[in-house]
Amino acid sequence: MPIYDQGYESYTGARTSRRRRWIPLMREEILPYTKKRIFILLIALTLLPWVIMGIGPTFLRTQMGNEYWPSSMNSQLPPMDEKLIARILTNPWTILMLVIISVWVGSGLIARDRKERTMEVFLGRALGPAQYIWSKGAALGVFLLGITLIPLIIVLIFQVGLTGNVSFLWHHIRILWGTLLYSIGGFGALILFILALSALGENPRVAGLILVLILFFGLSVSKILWFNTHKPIVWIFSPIGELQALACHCLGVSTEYPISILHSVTFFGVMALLSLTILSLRFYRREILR
Amino acid sequence: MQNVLSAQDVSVYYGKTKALKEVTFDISDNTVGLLGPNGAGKTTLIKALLNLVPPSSGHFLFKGENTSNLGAALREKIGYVPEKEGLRSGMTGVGWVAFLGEISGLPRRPAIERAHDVLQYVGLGESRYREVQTYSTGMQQRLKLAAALVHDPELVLLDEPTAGMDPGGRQEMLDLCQDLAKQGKTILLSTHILKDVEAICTQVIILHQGEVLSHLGIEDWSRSESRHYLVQWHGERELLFHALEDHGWGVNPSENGLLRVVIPPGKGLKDLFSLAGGLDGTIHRLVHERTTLEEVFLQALRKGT
Repeated sequence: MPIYDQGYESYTGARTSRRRRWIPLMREEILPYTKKRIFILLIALTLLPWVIMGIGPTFLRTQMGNEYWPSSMNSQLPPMDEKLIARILTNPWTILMLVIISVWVGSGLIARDRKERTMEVFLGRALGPAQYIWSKGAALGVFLLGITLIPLIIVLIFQVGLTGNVSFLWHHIRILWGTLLYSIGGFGALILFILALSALGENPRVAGLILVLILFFGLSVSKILWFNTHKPIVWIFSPIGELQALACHCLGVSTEYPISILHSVTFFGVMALLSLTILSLRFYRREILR
Repeated sequence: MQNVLSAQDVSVYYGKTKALKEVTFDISDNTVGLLGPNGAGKTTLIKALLNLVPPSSGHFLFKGENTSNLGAALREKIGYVPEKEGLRSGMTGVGWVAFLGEISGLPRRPAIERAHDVLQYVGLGESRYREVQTYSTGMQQRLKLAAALVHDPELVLLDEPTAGMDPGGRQEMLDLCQDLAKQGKTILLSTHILKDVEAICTQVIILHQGEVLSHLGIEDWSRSESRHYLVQWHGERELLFHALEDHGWGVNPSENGLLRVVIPPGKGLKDLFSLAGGLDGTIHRLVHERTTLEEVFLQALRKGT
């Protein structure tokens, strides 16, 4: 019996718009992680500060009886405001998790496709380089937004639900747009930077290692240089410090770093532009496939 | 017949190295072999067509349209079977094919259905739920073919599809290519295995050091070669030699006392026998001489160098 006994049949069904071809690629970058228990645990751990610092105080204030939680102790709890959200976004735990997830997911996004030679399979289909890069960035973006914007929205829902005070949202609208701005500006630039780094090599581990060195040790380098020089420019070695400062600027609270808003904007703008240039050079005339 | 694919002065540079040198050809048949030794530029030519390596000069025409104007629309009509790897570990065979179907424009559900169909077609129906890294080389090649067919392309580019396959698997792959050609698909088979080309192709492009050395249709070439015969003559060899020469036949003495005879157009074996019948001697043995593709290939390479 010939192996093509079934016979070849042509496809006559519908086809999707070319603009939507990046969606399956993004989905296939996300799905494998949802099947890894350790990764799900990591995401759950990332949400701890949101639960403890975000929902906890409101819960204690509103849901516990006076015998368990006297109202006199309420003053010792931080109020829900921009300052509290900035503390959650910039606390070392959240940053540590952010770095781990960025390195885990981001380092192999492009490098892995080069290693497995699947990039030429994707680009050999009706998918342009811009859509390819966008799909990879969107996959990482989903995870990064999953540990900032989504928990923030859940915290706000709890806040309004537990207190019954809808006007809170109006009075603290900066929490929403500030976090959104921080996510788009800071994470957007960080994602482009990670993609550019991933596009430079074929080995995801090397890309991951470089990323760890930059993200973890950059802060120490900047701190050492700052104590010796007291020049704000030295913070450019620390994307983490810059991210923390940007979060504070976006939420309108003071930052522990001597980084001005202009410095932050310039840093992330230059980072995004530089990364885009690297990506363009790598994908221009498909140099990355050689 | 309209040309399915044409290349017009296509050149590709890798840095200062010219990988393709003003390559020009027209493909009208539906099974075309791209033949050449390693490093001849076969893979570069395929990648240039897919715009994975943009040509430095020249252009391709697909059904008369300039491919640089078609962009993604062109790649919707092309299925590509890469030579090396090109599979994502951790995914099942059906998952991988359906995923590529979606990227090529099929909605999710039809992509899954179609993936099952094409996997069945290439003979991987029973192993479709296995993860791709567990597939043998032959199965991986078939999986790549299924992935290339999932969006029902008009042109299928196969880069060394039988590399590393056992004889049985190789034959099955060639059978599939032949069947696809019958379905109206244009097959461009890039290989350095002459027998593969000989087995299924009706047109051959011989590439060497980035240049097209020869472009021939196997049928035309076979027909002209079929007029060559080796004759063993029982009698005085010169007698037959001069008799044939006098009648304008192409004749050359060959090794082992044989004569190589080329039957002129309009004449046949009957004429050879009647001519020989009038001489003192008999035709003892008659061998139909066929030049193999290998000889043509080597001849072209010698000319090229």
